[in-house]
Amino acid sequence: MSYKRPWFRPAFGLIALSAFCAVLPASGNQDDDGLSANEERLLTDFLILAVKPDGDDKDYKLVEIGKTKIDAGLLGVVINTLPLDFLGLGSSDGERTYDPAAEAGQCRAACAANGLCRSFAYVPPNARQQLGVCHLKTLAEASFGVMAPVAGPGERAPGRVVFEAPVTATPAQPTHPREKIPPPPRLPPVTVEAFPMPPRVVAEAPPLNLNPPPPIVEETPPPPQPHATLAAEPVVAPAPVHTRKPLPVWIALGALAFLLGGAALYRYSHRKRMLTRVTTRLVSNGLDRHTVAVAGPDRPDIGLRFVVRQGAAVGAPGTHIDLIPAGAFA
Amino acid sequence: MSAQPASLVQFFDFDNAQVRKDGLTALGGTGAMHGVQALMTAAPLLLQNHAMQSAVEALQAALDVRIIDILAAAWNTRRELRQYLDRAKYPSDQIIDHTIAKHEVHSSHKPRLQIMLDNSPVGPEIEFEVIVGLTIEVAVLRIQDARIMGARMGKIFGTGTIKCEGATLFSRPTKAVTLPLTVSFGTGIAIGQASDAAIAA
Repeated sequence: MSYKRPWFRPAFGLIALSAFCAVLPASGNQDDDGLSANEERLLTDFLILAVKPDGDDKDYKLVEIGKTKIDAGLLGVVINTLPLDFLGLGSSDGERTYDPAAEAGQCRAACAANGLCRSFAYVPPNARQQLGVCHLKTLAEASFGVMAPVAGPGERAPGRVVFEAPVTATPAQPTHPREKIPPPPRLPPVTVEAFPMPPRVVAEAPPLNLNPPPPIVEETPPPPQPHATLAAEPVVAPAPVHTRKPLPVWIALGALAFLLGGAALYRYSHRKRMLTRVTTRLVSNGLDRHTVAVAGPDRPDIGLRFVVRQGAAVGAPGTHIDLIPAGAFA
Repeated sequence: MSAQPASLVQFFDFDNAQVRKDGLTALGGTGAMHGVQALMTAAPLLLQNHAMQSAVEALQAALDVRIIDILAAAWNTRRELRQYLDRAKYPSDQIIDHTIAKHEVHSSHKPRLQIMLDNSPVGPEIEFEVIVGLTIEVAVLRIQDARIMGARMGKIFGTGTIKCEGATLFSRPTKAVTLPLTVSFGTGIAIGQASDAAIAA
């Protein structure tokens, strides 16, 4: 651990002091119309408090301002919101003059003074940002410094001026122990699965008329023309209306008869099964004790008993004998 | 000679719906049926009403007795027919027509029924008394080999009643009975024995 070495703190403080001294002339403090040392200190404290409300406990993308480091993005936001007069950068006519070459030189000097700076980029003022910005690029390209305008001739540079400062031979200095933030996890690329969709039903209805219906205009019937001939107007067939066909009567009656027949059959079957519970057993037909009696003449009617053993010798041709029992039918 | 031999069912006109209805009404008023219905209170009303109908149907089965069988049984009881048992006097090849003048036949038998609910008896047995009275104008019995082989009958009038516990359920007024004029008993009815093979000719 290099930061635990005893010479680390003095060396780091020396580097920070040299960087501050390099930035300090670029702020125009030496001019009579610029900020005094006290005002500069107050401004630095204000900027630090404005962009570091949580103090040093929070990890910021740091840029050195004075003896401390502040978040670069927040510093830019704060500075852009401040009026130019607040920083003492305003002019009476509203148009500031600056020297891009001088500001770029200051930016280069700041990079050279910073041991972590590998290159720098100077952004001249423009319509959107009225202050030049000096980006001190480390390997992580995370810090930048704000430029104070340097008065001088020249036109506004339209774009960013990037200077790649050669790395000077600096003594081996311990690298600043920075906490390495792991890169954000890379999400797998979004994949889209395509699958066939079921075929769509072809609409049979006519397409909807998106146009608004015409307003209803009441038309008065034209007066009858007595002598007008009846013109044969074309008979327009009415549009087919898709209406549900009613159930035929014979099907309804058939279904009703089927239901009633089924109900009657069920009732008949239920009744028949119910009635089988009650039966009557014929214990005896009574013929074993059958009594029969005959009332009448017990003696035989002798007059009716004829036994013909041979033919009767009757001479008279017209005589015949009829044997008819008394009371019997003929 | 092919008329269907009448039975007591036709004799009492059981096929007449009105007669059956009157008989059911009378049967419902008997004490026996009141007892049966009291025991079937828990049963559905349909079953209670069906109990009497079932009893009448069973009674109809008990009346399946042919009238000619009643007549044959009555004739066989006459004592003058016993003389034909003498084979010496009446050889087997001799055919004898024995005439019976106007006479009356009285028959009575008592069928018994048991009403069952779910194969279990309900109440005591119900006894009916069937009384039949027949008046025969004349009958000529053909006797051969000591057997009654057939008969020719004159007019027959009959009356009858069916009672249950003294109450008259069915009553038949005196009216003519339709029977075949000539009846054959097949192989014959042995004189002095019960007949069970009467066949209408």
